[in-house]
Amino acid sequence: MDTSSFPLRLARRKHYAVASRSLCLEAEDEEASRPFERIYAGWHLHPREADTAPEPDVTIRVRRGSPPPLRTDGLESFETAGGWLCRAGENTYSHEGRGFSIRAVGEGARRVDVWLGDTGQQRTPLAFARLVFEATSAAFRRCGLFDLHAAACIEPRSGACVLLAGPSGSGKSTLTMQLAARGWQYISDDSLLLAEAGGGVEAWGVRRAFAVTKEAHAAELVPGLKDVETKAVPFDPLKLRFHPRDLFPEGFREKGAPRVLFFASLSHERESRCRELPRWEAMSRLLRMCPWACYDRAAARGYVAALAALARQCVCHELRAGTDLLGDLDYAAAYVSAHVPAGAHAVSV
Amino acid sequence: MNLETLIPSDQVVCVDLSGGEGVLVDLNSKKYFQLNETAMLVWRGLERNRAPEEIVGELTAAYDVTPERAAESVERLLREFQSRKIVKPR
Repeated sequence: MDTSSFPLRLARRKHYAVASRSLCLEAEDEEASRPFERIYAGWHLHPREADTAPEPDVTIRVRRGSPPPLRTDGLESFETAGGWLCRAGENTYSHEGRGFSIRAVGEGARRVDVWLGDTGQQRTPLAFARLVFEATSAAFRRCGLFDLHAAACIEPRSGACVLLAGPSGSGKSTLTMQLAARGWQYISDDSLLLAEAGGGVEAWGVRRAFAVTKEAHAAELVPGLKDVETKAVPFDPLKLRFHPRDLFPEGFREKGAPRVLFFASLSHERESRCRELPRWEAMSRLLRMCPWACYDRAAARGYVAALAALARQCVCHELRAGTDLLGDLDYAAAYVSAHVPAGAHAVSV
Repeated sequence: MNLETLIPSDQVVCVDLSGGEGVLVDLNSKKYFQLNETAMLVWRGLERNRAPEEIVGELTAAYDVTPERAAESVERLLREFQSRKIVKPR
């Protein structure tokens, strides 16, 4: 019997605006809703009053207990980080770990169901953070918003949006912070949502906080950094987070149309090196960075199209950042600016 | 040419990059392929249910190439697509 078809006793419903979409969070009770609400408070998800909120583009429904059995025939299954198990097919996405279950089932599904499962499981803040991230990312993909692990800021001379893509520890936050200290506006230091816009793609920020290494904080890489309030990052003991508006009060911008894309890494050499990438290579790197573009089949077409649009509209570079980019704010800003092509400018999206 | 009419697998996503080039992503194998301008023209032909001979016609109309060489190229590409299991019989 598919109990998911039973109406849910809903005690709590919250509406959010995010990247021109409307997301609805429904939960059985406040306790089920709280992990989501707490994490959303640190993201660029803006609460909306129920009576003014538009029809949701996607809904996340959180309940207790275990999910109904899943028909697994025709689904591929694979393990993801932390021992979670994903099963995916043309119209099915299921992701489970730590007793949590996330599902989106059905053609064109605009609802992601979450079961909190057995409370006997060890539920650390990190486990809840993972649940919220995975469920919300799946919901975003179902309304045309696609994750990219990248920072974004706006070059002041041209207004061009510059992305710095790369894994944790590739220098995204450090460089973003240095550019912001030189008057660049910032969208995010770490996580973006890509959305189709007028045949191209625009990038929206997700997380409000910046996270910097303790080393960068101790060295006060940008003026005033030591004076801002910081908190530990629960899943990364080497980093501290702070609110960028405390340091760059006028700097935030909610979105931009990317024109330059750097694939960043730290070389630890003295001199930074940069080389332009052919679009095919940029696309290949983007696909490797975004596994859900291939593994979440229901969203794959939109995701791959968004990555291709990004590769088309950007000049793409591999950036092996050396020590010359750390600490010298003017040099860092001039170096990145020099790779913004003449004629690149802000695009209205 | 001795090839039946093929169509793209449902599990392949094709996107344009620039200058006529593109990328195919096979959601089954998780592999992706770079397509040059000619290969993109052939793939787009398959998407429009064109028979191999019709695609050869499109190729000779678009490029300065003899029908024989165009037919060779199309056949080679279609066999490559078949071997990668990214096309299926119509």
